[in-house]
Amino acid sequence: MSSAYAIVLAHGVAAPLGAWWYFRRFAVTRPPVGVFNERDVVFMSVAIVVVPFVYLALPIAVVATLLCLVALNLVYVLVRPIAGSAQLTLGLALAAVAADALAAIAYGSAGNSFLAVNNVALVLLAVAVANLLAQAGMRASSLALLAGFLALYDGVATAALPVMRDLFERLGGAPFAPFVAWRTESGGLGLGLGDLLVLALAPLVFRKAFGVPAGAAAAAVSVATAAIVLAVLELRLLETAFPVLVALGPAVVAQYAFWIHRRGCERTTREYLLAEPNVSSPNDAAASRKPAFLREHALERR
Amino acid sequence: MIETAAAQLRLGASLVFGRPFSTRSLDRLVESIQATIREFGSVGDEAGELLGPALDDDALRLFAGRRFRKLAVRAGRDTRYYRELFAGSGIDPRRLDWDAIPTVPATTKQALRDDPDAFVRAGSRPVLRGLTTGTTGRPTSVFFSREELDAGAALGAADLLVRGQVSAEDVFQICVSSRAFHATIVSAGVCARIGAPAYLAGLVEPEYALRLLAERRSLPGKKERASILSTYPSYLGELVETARRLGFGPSDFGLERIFLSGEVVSGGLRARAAAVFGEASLVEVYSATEIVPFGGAVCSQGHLHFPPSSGLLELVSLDGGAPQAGEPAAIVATPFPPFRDTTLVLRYATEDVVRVLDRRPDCELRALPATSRIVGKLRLAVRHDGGWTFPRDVVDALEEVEDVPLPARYGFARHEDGVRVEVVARTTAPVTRAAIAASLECRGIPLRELRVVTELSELRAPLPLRCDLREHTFALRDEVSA
Repeated sequence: MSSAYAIVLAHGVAAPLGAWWYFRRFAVTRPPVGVFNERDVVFMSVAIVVVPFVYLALPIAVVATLLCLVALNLVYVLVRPIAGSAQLTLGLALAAVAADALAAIAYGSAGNSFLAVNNVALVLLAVAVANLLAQAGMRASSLALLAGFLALYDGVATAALPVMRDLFERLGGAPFAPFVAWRTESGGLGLGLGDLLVLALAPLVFRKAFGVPAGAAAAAVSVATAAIVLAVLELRLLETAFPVLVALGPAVVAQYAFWIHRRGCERTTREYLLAEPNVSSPNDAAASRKPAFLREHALERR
Repeated sequence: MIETAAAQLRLGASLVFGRPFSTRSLDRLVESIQATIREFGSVGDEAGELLGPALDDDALRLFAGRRFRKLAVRAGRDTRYYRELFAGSGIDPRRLDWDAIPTVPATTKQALRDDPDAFVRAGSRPVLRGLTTGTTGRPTSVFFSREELDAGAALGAADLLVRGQVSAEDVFQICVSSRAFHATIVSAGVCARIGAPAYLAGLVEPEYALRLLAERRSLPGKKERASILSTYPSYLGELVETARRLGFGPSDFGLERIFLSGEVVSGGLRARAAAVFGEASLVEVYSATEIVPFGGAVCSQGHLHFPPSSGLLELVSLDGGAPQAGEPAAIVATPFPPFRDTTLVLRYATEDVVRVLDRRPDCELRALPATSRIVGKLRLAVRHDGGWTFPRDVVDALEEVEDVPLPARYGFARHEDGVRVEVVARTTAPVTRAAIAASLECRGIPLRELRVVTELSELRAPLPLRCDLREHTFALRDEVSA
């Protein structure tokens, strides 16, 4: 296997591992009211269909600015519970965005120097989005719905339509280009942001919904699926573009069907945290990372 | 989450610009709050601000000043009472700023009582006439539209859910006068939205109300006994007294929360209620049909807090003008649209008296304007050489004494340079009399004469109590004959 295979797969492994580590330790700021539900899946699906066309229509400078602002927001949300102070968080988020933007300006789509920075940034974004969705109460049924849609959409948009190819070509040198990739002399390999997101998200949602075995199985199945698809592409067993999501989506749906049949129902976030309290240090800062109802219990005990 | 965000934006537009509420958005918000509680066990810390953010003094002046002017312009244009008032007084409502608000004459209970139709906005669609229960004289009328009823129920449900005071598992017994039509309709709407089964027991014989509280049911997904009671303090007093007589104790009930409104809640009532109903928490709420849904909630430190988004609270010294810290002051209230959109009132003189806080509160509701708890109706208060004595002063002192049955039946009036108090007690023994006198004097009441009797009929001028709005049922008689 080439270095591209190893590097891309390593990032594909880093995303679920990072998301899992973060999920057990930190609570992202969530809206005081609201749970991620099926209607949000529909909204996301519509956005996923529409946004590529918007990105293709807008001037590249505008698209790059939008991507940087979205990334700044996501990195801020991700870092806030770790850094503590708002100023430090903003500084770190700005530094991360600046690093990717400067890499894009300095190296553009010329090669792996930019990709090395951008790949790390994409993993960070996947960890952030996965935690935002999972900690917003996303249910495994919603994930299955989303993954199923993404598999269909990605199959059509990548294999049958020129949309994704045009988009990747256009955003290839822009900051936060939406893929993890590595070039080699013979070509290269890549994972789309959607692939990376489902890789990071599935273990969290399945763990919350059905327990540690389900989460661990989701991580293993997702990474194995990505490894196999990447290997197929690396070995050029397929002549056309084949997005990982086309295989990953059905794998997620099948896992959902298995676990819901086996367990009967999903756990809520409250039930999950009562059964598996987050890993926390004994200081107050760590206590503040817990959800409100667990903090109240802790205070009562004091 | 997207729908929740849209519903919040819609609510925000209504709060900021006074636009009519969207009942659909409010219902969606209630569903979202319930979904959040189901998923996470509680809403986020900032959820309380959904229903109206806290405002600092400058923001309050700006916000309330604009809303008042807008309402005044509308009232002057669309209601007969204010059109004539502004024409007669030469006030141009379009030029009212914050400092000019006190120049608008307060609207008296008498004016609203005499011609309630004159306050109904042209173009509104009244569907319900709310009559006050009339404990302070002839009932006053207030008209409400369907939109007001729906919004009131949805906002009430959201508020109770956010505060964690009612859940879908609760069973809600309402023991208020059935003539409190608006309150019961809105309460039923609140419970329906939350999914908590409710029933209007009314102000029936206390024995029957207690049996309803104690009966066990097997409704799927619901608590097996009534867990929430909404009533008046005086009726709660009757329940406590009757329960003790019949030998009921905390294990006979499943009450977790008791909402009290309409009257003063004394420390003695709290203590004696705890002996009967166990750890059920007492939640004091201030509201009045004339200004509803503007009202206040009592915090953990005993302050009465008013949300600035739904109305303007003014405190007027009992001598007129601005009151000083610690002084008694009357509540003058203006409920804002869209909370109130049919019967419009500007600067309504509630006749309810509070004390101005002598320092800024540091409680959990410190961001909201606050006063002391209600100390009583102004026209029931007595002025004497030493200042004022209010119903709260007297009822607090009397209900502290075990020999005074609940609710305290009493009257008081000016006598010489102080007050004369008459009260019903279990006995007229000297020791009882001494205990009552000591309790009154301990609270600074300048007692000049004390009359202790054992029958209500012996009182010369008892204060009216809402528990006397009694409704009768054949239930107990049927049980006895069976």
